[in-house]
Amino acid sequence: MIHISNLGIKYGDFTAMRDLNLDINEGEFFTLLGPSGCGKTSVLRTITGFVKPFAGTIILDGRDVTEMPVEKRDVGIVFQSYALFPTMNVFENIAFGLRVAKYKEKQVKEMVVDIADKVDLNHEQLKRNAAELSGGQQQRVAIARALVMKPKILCLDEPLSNLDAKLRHQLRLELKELQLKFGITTVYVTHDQEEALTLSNRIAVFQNGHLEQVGTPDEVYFNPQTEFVSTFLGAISQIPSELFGVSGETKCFIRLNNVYFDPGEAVDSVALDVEIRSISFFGLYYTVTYQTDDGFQLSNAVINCNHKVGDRLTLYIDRSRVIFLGGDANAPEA
Amino acid sequence: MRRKHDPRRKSFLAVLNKHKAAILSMMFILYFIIVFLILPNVNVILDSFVTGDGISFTNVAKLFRSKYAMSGVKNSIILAIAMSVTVNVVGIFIVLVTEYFEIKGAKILKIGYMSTFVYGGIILVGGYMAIYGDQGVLTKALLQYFPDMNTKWFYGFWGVLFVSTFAGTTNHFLFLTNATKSMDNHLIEAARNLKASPLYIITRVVLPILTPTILAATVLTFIGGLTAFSAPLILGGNDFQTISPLILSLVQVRSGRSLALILGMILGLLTVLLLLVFKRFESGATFFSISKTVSKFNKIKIRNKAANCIVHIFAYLLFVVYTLPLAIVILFSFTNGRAIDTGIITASSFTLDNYVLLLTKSQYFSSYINSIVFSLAASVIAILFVFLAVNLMSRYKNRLVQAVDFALLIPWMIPSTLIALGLLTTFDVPNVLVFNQVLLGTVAILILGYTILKIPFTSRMLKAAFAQVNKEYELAAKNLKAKDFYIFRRVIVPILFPTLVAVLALNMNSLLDDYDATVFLYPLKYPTLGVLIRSFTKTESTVDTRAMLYVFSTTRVLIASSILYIAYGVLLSDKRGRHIGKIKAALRTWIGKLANRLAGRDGVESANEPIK
Repeated sequence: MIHISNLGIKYGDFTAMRDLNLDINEGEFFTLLGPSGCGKTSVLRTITGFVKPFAGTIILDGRDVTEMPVEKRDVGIVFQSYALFPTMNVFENIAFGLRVAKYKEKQVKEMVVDIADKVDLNHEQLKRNAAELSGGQQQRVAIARALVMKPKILCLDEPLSNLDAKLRHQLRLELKELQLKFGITTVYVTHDQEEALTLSNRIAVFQNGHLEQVGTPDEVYFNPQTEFVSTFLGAISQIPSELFGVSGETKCFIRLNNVYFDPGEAVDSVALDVEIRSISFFGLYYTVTYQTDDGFQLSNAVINCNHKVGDRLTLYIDRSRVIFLGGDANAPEA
Repeated sequence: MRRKHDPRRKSFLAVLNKHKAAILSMMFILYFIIVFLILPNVNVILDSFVTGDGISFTNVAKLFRSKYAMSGVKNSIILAIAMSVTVNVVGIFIVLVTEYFEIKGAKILKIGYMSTFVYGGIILVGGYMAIYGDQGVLTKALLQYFPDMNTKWFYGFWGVLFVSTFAGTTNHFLFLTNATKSMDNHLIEAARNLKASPLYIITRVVLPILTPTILAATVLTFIGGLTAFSAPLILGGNDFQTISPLILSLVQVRSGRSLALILGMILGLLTVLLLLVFKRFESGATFFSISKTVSKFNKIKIRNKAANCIVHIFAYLLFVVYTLPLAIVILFSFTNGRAIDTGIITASSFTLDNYVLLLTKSQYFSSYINSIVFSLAASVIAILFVFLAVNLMSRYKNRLVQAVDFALLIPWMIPSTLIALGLLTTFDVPNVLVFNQVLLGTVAILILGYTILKIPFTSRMLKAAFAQVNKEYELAAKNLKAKDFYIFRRVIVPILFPTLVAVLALNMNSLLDDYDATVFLYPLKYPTLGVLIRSFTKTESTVDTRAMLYVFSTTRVLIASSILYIAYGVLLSDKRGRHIGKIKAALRTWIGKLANRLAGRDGVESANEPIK
């Protein structure tokens, strides 16, 4: 559906993206993930046509659109700010593109009402000014405005980043439902790894203007290819490499949920003597931070915590879940 | 008998003590408002409506019967309506080409369009006259081809409208430029993404968003049209006289003052009505971006080559219209009378004689000094007074404070000629309210008049600036145990400093060549720039006086530019510390030299030593 090859983006002397190659499949929810300034939004803006690349090509649905102006690409966009026209009501906002395309007013009305129904906006809300709507409703208006034009691709530029935590969580689910309902190829930009993991079919992780890894949420989470991806996607702890018989440049990491108290929980466990340094309560669970005798710190999450800071105990690490990075980075034979 | 303890009384005294500074400030503010903003205007009103037989509306009837006066009112309204259209067309266009579209040479164009910031009023009209007037360059050039043409072709409605249009875009440029720059770029991109053309985006997205700003500028333009003075006075001729010049001519004869007042009241009522309509409209709709994050606006490229070419041509044509009068004025200021008279400039035409005359003729030179001193003094007083009032407004919310807020706008509702007249008739005899002094004929009454004229603008600007001061700064400072005055001095004033400097510069610039209020109030011993320049623009003026008009205009522009440079280039520059350091060093050196000379010492050796 989207084929990006050797893409390079520059702003003056600053290179925002180097030599990017990426394929996004039809109907896929594809996320561009990375910290601020990594180049993810630049890639999205290049797909939509707002930014011209200095190198490479973009093929959308078989058409080379690299030099094509925004209005000819059939790509819908929902901005971080939603960019709802403040002088228009919800109906006029959604109808904007249809009126530009000179649809008859009767058709405009039908199409707006139809899309509004699909995104759960009622007739009363259509008459209101966009400023009077809640954050969630504004997001639905922005999506409806983009989808009513029946684009082949929908691009979403951090649409949840302005919302509070509760609403963000709720809208994340709504967004996923809408994407499944319309089955539209969606390119989503975020810096929130949790959002990326829960929403996406596949994720591309970026850092400093280059692509670090592409994969399914499971792949990038449990099998990160670089240290950056491992640390960017969820909590992770570095553990002594010597325990696993690796040396040199290779570093060993373990995810929070693969550290156990009971040796029976791990398939092929490795014991580690530690002292508890801190215990933090998160409502549903506790995060306990430990320190090994040689100074490594690691954490895990537990439902109940019967220990206190300063207690010494033995932890068990599932060898098969250890992430080996750097050096030859191959897991040694057990 | 022992006095019974009254806790309420004690708390009242405690409250008085706690707010004593505010109470004293409020008393002073009320004194100023009552004595200088209300009383003189009430006096003028009473003069017009109260006769020996009580209240009489004879003057109103007289006014409505006067064809001359009614045609003035009609012409003012026609000019205001016409200007609302033409100024918007030109104003929006120049902002679009400098801020919205990618236009080659936009920075140069911007400087040209901004020329109205440094020259206006009589000087600006004089500049246009130098080209299009009966003695103007263009008229003389046309005469060679059309000897029978009417040399006064530029006089009348169209000439007034033309000059007023190009003189009236300052507000558009000032407000619309900022509004355009602060527009959310995502809105434009969203519209482009929905396949809207550039023209569609301008008409359906950009202009509706800019509507409140355009409307605010339009209201000011309309008021400017209603109260237009210089252009109709000089170019209107007998056929197109408007209210303000009419008021001026009426107030100069005692019997005409009441008619002038009623005309002024009509102007004031129309102004208030407009402001109310605007306020109602403004509160009824959402124009600002509702986005929580606003992306930086990027200029739009016009892709259609023909459209791009046409826009460029118009942009540069307007540049010529804006800058040519100024260029001609500057050029003629360095030429002799013959060149001005014939419009033919050769190498021998250039001379510095006009400037020598300016510097050597004490009447000319002192008018500059007078204008600078008076306008600076008035601007400073207006800022101090309004600062005091607005500071109280930001701390207290009650009816008295609201009344003060409204009272500060009074000078906007009354033509400046009438404000001047009010002051003149109230303080022409010893008045107990000003400690039994006669203010008429003193410098004080002129400075007072200037101060009053600048109060509404200063109040709007400072109020907006105060509203933007984050209240948490004050709370943070209080939390760190800072006293109120310390917070005011070290926290509030530095935050407001840019606004204070900007207001000072703008106030000063607009007062430098004021004529309509000055003509009533200036002490004969201290003529000002406006009075002198007006005398040069009279139709019976000679070639020599026209040469002086150009010199005065050029130097006026130079002073205005210097004021703006000092304000924005030095005081508000990022390198402020360095600039001020340089100025201080230069001043020290200069004072050192002076001190040495006064002491009779050889200045050469010690001139560069700073005074310790």
